[in-house]
Amino acid sequence: MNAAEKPGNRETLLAHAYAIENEAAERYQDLADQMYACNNTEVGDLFAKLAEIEAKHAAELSLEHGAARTPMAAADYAWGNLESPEAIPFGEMHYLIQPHQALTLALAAEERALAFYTDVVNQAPTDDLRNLAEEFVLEEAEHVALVREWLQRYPEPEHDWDTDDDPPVQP
Amino acid sequence: MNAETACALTARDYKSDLKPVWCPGCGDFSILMAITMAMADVGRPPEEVAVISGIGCSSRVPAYTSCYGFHGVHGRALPLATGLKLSRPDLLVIAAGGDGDGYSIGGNHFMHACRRNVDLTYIVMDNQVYGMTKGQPSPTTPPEWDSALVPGGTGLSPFHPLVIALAAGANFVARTFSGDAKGTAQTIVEAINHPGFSLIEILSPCVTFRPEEREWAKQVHPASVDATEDRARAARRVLTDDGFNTGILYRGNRAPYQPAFKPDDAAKVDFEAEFLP
Ligand SMILES: Cc1ncc(C[n+]2csc(CCOP(=O)(O)OP(=O)(O)O)c2C)c(N)n1
Ligand code: SF4
Repeated sequence: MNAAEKPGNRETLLAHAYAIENEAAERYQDLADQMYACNNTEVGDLFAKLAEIEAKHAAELSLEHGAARTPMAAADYAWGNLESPEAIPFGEMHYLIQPHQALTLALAAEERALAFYTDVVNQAPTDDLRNLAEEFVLEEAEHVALVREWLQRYPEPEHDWDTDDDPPVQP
Repeated sequence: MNAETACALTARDYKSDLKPVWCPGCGDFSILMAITMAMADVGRPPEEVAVISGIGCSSRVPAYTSCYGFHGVHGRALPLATGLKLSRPDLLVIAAGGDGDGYSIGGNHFMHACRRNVDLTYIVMDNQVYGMTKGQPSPTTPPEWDSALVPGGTGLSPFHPLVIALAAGANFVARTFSGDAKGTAQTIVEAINHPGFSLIEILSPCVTFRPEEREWAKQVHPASVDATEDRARAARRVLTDDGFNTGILYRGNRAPYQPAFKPDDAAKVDFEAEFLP
């Protein structure tokens, strides 16, 4: 399969789904660890919670569908050389990031995963593949709804959110 | 590569349990990921790999891998890596660090490592600043970069590592961007598989002391031409590009320097005996 092609059968969809959920779980955990390392525990806890949810999803995939047993070569994933859709890029982080900003990034990541599965549904050549992709769409839509709900609990950051009383660069 | 081992190993197997203390947003996180992905792809188990560094934020990288490692003296990653590779040619040896470590205090070692062409892969996480010591300019800092520590900028021409590597004899030269972790991983694999001294210059934003480098993500672009085997052409290309071209620039065919290993070498046996219990 060429990079940029959507998975065209059950096996490759499972491999993609497992990679998406597993990489998201690892990334959320890495981001949680980064936040704990600079004492931003509130955001660290949010990322850790998201890591747990994604890890559970990856474990379910592996258990129910044997997805982990169908790994593919890196070049065969539809996202080619890009990050898998549900991983927040490392470069987006800031040590003073606030929950609202962290959840906005998470929402974008969850929406990318939802869009990926939706595209598979729309392009599926068989009912079997469409049904499986629809399952993933439902699951991902739940994650999107959950992150949206969490987002409402946190105010948008003040304009001076990144002001540090002990800045790394002295003026 | 042993196919069974290669299948069994994943990037996670090359990560240590130590959590990086880099600033969130630092390019070095993605480079660590690229290194571990490349290792999994190459398929050599962690105990057959040594990651050698000097001092700096980027030079912390050996501790974050599960491979053998040595966090050496500032600027001395390359002599350490060279010595290790010459005495243990069976190991896969990676040297890694920053632009300050490699091009400033380690600049002389850099030139001669290129000249010697020992089979090493050298990963430089170039953020054009000394991150660890809080933002002093490095040899690759643009002359006009103005900060509290260099009011008005240095006014000095930056060092051009890729041209120097080509002129000094490096056998593989590439530039990548940390934000492209998968592309960087592939380039590391190619560098490892190419015999001789390989330099991978990775643009890696220091979001704390050079926050404007976050914009690099929009500035980098893949080189529009393929790698060349012609050193002069590669040098011309890189001298005239905008500094944001990424990809493999040069693949040479010099034979690596690797003197025959003599296990019964008396001096070596005596030397080793000093370290044995
Ligand atoms: C012999 C010696 N001189 C100076 C220093 C101070 N020092 C530590 S790290 C560093 C520069 C780090 O810059 P770079 O290698 O670019 O790495 P970065 O922190 O940016 O990743 C310097 C000058 C030192 N540790 N040892
Ligand atoms: S100071 Fe710069 S180079 Fe060092 S960890 Fe922070 S962002 Fe990275």
